Amino acid sequence: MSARPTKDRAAARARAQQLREEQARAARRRERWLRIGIAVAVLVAVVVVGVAVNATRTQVDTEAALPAGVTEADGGLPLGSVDAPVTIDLWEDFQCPACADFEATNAPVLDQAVADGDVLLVLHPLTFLDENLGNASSVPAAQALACTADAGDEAALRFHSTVFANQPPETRGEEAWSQDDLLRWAEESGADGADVRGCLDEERYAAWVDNVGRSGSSAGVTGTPTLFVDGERVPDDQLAAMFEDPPVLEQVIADAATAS
Amino acid sequence: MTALSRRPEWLPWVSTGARLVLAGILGYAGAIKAVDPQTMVQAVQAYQLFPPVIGELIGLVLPFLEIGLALLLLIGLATRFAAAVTAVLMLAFIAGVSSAWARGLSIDCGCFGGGGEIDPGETRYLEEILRDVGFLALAGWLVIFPASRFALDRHGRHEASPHPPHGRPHPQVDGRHAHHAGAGTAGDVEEERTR
Repeated sequence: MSARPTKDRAAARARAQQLREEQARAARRRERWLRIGIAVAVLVAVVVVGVAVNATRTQVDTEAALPAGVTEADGGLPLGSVDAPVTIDLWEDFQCPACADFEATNAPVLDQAVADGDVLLVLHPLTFLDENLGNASSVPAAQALACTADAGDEAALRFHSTVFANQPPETRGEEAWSQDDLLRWAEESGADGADVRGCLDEERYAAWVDNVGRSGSSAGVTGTPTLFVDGERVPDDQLAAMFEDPPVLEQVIADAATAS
Repeated sequence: MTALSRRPEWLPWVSTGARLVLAGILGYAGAIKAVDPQTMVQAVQAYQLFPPVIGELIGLVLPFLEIGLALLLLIGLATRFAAAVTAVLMLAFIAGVSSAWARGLSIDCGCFGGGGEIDPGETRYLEEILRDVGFLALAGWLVIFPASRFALDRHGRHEASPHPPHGRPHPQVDGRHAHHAGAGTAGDVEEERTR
């Protein structure tokens, strides 16, 4: 065999190898993009299915039994005259210490304004602290508030103040109150103990309490207490001032009454 | 190829570990959030970074994005891509927690469920950020060294494919050679296998 064909053969082999390598590289590139494509498809599929399932779970339960005076499935509990010139929406968790401070300063002002027909107080009891504190006290308290409202606005208002007045220091993993405590406070507020017990036992307003929690997220309520006066959120600095001094809230109510 | 073969034996095993640890963390974090969408949405709202509607959307999507990424890392599919997305996610978490800290909010990061406002004395921003930095480092490692064992990706092993490449160049040339020198062709195939 002469040297020439060997050389040709070597050159052809080199060319062939070069081609093979290029093709292999192209194949690897294709494969990589295919893998990324499949990965994106997996991500999208997981997210779409998951969100679809959870979206139904976070929807308001329109079949929920509603406490006295509540007109929408996720509406707050209205206390006082619907003809009052000022509406105050109050978002609170019965276990929230800041809410107890707020109530300690302002409950007399609010209760008086409601009694005088100056304010329609709409209570939105939230229950997120159950999760944060690892207990189950906010939910039964919120349900008991709804149960007590069946005995009238005054009973609900009194019950609401009583729970805050008796709020123990936050203790992780420990209940803030027992069902007996809630029943006793409901009775002291003027509700019938047996009625409230039956209402709590059958969890009559559980779905409503869930709905209120959901509506808090969509209303952008990120902490408690949060106040809306005639639909306007009370800014943080004004809210902070309310903790110190009852006249701040009095003034806010008076201003809102003049405006409307 | 030479660069790959010089890499130490244990490198893919470290990457396998990083993949599985990150998958476990993301899967756990995603699952615990996915089962309680309401709390998750509240946790996002507590950052006060987004309008309520956007916050709600993020709260719904995020847990499943985490689960999806965990799945990809677990099976080792598009590892570099999944790790890069995870790294971006961690950067976003670090930015979110930092901004909450800087704005003087008192919230739980909601990284593993829970979330929302907490007592000012109970915030753990530094701890939360350092934890996310650790996860970011794992993701960063995988972006740099995605090759790992027990993965669907086949980094660096394509050369050892037992199948000859498609569209083999000039098969007729090979055929002619085979006619003249069969041993040569066998040698070619053998060369391909071992290269």
